[in-house]
Amino acid sequence: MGEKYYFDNAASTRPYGEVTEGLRDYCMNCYANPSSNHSLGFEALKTLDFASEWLLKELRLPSKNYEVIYTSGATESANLALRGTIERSERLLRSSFAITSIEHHCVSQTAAYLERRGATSCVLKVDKLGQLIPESVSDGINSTTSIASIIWVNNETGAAQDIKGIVDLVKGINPSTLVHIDAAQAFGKVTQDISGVDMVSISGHKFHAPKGVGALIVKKGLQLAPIIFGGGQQKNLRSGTINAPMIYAMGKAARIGIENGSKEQLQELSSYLLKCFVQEFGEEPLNSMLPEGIYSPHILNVSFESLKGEVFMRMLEEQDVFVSTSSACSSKAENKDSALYAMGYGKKRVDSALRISISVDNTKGQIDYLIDKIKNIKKRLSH
Amino acid sequence: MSVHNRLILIKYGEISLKGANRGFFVKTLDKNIRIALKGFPGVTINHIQSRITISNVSQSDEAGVVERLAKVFGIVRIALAYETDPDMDSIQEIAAIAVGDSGANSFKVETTRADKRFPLTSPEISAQVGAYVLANAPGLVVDVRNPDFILHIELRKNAYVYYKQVECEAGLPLGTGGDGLVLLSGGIDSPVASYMIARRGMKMHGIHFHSYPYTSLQALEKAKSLAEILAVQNNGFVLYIVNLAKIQEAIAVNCNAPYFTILLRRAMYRIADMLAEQKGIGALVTGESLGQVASQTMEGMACSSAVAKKLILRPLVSFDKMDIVKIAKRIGTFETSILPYEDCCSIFTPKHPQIRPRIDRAQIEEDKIPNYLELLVAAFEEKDMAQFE
Repeated sequence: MGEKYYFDNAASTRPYGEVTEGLRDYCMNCYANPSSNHSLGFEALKTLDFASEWLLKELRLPSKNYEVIYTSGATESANLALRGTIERSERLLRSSFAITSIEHHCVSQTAAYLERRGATSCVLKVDKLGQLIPESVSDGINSTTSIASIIWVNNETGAAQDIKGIVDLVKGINPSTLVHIDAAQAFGKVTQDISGVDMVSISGHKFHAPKGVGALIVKKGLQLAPIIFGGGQQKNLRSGTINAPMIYAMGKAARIGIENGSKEQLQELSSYLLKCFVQEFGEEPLNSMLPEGIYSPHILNVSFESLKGEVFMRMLEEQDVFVSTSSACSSKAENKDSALYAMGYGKKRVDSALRISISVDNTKGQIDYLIDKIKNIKKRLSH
Repeated sequence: MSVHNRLILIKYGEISLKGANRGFFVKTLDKNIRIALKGFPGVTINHIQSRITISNVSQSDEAGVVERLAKVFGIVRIALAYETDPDMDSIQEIAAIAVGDSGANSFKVETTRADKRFPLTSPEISAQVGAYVLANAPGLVVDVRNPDFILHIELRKNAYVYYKQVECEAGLPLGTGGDGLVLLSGGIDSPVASYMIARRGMKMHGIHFHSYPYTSLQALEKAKSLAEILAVQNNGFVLYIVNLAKIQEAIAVNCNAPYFTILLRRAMYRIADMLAEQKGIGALVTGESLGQVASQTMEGMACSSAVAKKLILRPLVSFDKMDIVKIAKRIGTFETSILPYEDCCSIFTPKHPQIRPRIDRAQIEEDKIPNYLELLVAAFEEKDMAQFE
């Protein structure tokens, strides 16, 4: 099998080699149930402390104020955050809550479910750069808002929000409104002081841990209703045998990310990608990355309007280059929920959008290859 | 108590009328039944005067055997019968057992007497058996006009008694009608067309055209899934896969947009014709239905198929969409056909397709494409193949 040029890291990353090796050893040696009352069980339980330490360190959240609930991934975490808040009481089920217009389905679909249950949702709008409009927040949050859910880094465009600013704004209007951050794409890529948030959702496989593990980081003392019932593990908030091996793997991945300076590496690759892309194709196709500073470094969203994104994606795939698109070739299977629509782009632009997403696994050589292949495809179509 | 066997009695209607070819038809049907029952190794297949019997079917296999036989083309009906000695005592006794589990209120008896040496006439047999059943099954009454069920008695070398019958596919045994090549798109119509022609005895093969990377691999997988479904009643299915991306690009670059679709259809017919010629296949089969889409007008069909030399069969030409959908649901292809992967990318779909294309104009458009024949031959030669059991 030849080299794969994988530029779909926003969808999932390859686990670090050290993580998979560590996971194997862990599975073989530390197999007791973390909830068992003997020493082997206790040893497994300590894994959670190890992972929590590195997850909180990456998010720069103090462990004295926050605790970690381990889940199967960000989808479950977001469900727990929103449903766990609103399903606590009949009163809350009649409350209002706020999400942005560019949420991932794990939040927008949970919101739709809560609306069916009686709650009222308010959608906070973004501008054409994908930034939350402050007036929209002031208009949307009021004394009845129970929770606001904000996607830190948007999964299609990489648009990153000023979390601290938003938290201050929300809490300024209603101090009891909880703020949940979907940090699935942000974790390990961007840094900010987010110390005012109440809950943060993350997914391990987005930062080089395996799939099937994630976490909801919660401010201590916060009351949540569980959405999974059973043996009462994790303080009754998430029943089910604690997935210690995967939690270990996720903690290890977070730690490697920090110790290897992956953010800096990613930033360098990102600048190189942007430079090469703009040199070759100009700024016109860009849907993200510029202006600098308000996008995550790992996502470059572009549109070549002459061709559907899906077709472009497959033309790259023919040459072992893997990128992604969120809209489909077929008019029936269109992605009406695209964040690009929320940013004001038209159908043609959205249908042709390509998402190129990098990780520390990529090299400058691979970026050169990618740019070269895009160039060839554009040539093929311009006869 | 008399000796009796439970067995499955297969009735084939139309093919028993085929005169001199009857032997060939029955032999082919026998072969197809054996293929269909491959998964039930213990069963025994016998022939008795325009009936085929399946015996040694275990109770647990019976439903599966019936279900499988019901899909074999050429079988009109199957009966779950008791076989016993051809004497009145045995027949009456078995008749009483047979109706025991009917749960019905009224019945009548109908007798077919293939063995004319039997001392009683058919009405006499029916009357006597009816009387015996009445006496032994309290609560049942005879109703000759509108019975809940009909108890059948067939007198051949042995006697056969049954009331449960399953309507089957009918049609003609697969393989008695030559070989056909269906243009299998992945939509609703073409699998139905393939099924309908196969039902008349033609062994089907398929050709699928895609335009990767303009179309998705899922669309190709969908066509393969349909071929796999069709394979069951077709004693296997070979699907040839041809990529038309380069041809579509050439059409888009060189020709007038309103002719794009019709030119693509002509390319498909041309390549299908080449394949049929190479494989010794006599007919092309399509799911075209008059007026259904822009390329399926009278002029569109005439213009596209003008390039093919083989016989072209369009079994759905007069069908309404909802009738096609009904069949697709019945044969189990509908759910797969409606999966949302389009078989043709919209970038090659003109806004205003020519709905009354002319053959001479189409030829002029094709002449604008440099080395068009070479392109077609290249696409044909690079074809792929998938085979389904």
